[in-house]
Amino acid sequence: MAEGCVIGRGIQVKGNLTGGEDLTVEGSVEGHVTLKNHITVLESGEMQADISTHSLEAHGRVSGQIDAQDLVSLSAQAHVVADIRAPRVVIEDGARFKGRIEMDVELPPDL
Amino acid sequence: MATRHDDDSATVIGESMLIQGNLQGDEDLHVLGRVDGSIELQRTLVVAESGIVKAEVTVKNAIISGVVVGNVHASEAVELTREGRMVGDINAPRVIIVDGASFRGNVDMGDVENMPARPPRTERPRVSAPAPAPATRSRASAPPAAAPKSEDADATVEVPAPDAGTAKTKVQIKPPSGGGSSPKKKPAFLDPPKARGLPKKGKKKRSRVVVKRK
Repeated sequence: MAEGCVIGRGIQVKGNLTGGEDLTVEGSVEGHVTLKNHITVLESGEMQADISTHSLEAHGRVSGQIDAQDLVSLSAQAHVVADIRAPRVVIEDGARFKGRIEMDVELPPDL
Repeated sequence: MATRHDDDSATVIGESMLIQGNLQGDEDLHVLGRVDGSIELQRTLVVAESGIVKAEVTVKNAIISGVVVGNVHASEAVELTREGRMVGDINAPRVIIVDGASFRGNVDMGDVENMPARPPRTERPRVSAPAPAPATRSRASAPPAAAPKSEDADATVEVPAPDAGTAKTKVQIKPPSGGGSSPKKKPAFLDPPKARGLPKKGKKKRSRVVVKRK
């Protein structure tokens, strides 16, 4: 967890966050977040943001819009109210989620 | 088309079957073929890998390994397995999406903000077949119908009373146009997971003494 940027427990960020590093959120982030790497929202973390990232792993609270190039995963502790657009979305048993999920779905031709 | 087993009752829609219309009942339903219309069950709907459901679905549990187009309303849980594909809205207190599954639509688990951090129950949705000896610490990689975890002492496990006498499934079926595949065949993934962790007994080599008599 030492690598990349860590928003600690007592820190609140409001505004825009851009970068090319992994981000770990233990505190609170509000605004727009654009990252080329991985975001981890820990159990104590809270994000209220429009997020564009490579991948996101939520253990805490996330709300807003999530756009990911790869994977969005919600762990059993996650509380997420968001619209998610990503090729891979995983919701673990126990996670709380409300919103829309957009993945590519290959359907049989007659459906 | 009901196939009765002694321990659990389930209806299987075979791979070559197409049902257009409404399906309702108080049994597990396994769809290996195709259902167009609506499904209403008090039990579990299992859409096998070969199964296609284009319907409004209202069930207790749904395990989706095939294709579902339509809205799914479950009073307990919906699980999309690795092979599952779904377009439609899900409304259920527990929704599980496994890596590999694809989904497009809305998910509503109720009031997300005011929910306890951890759900009171952690057993997986499953078909009503009695579980074998609980698998030891297998979780994410377990097949969809995995046995419930035994560690949770205060988890309440609802096992519906097997009243096969009152269980009935109303099915309006068009006569099958082709030769049907055997509906008794259970999909392979429903087989109970084998108990893990047991040391395999290697075959002992017995030394044999052969006494040749002259």
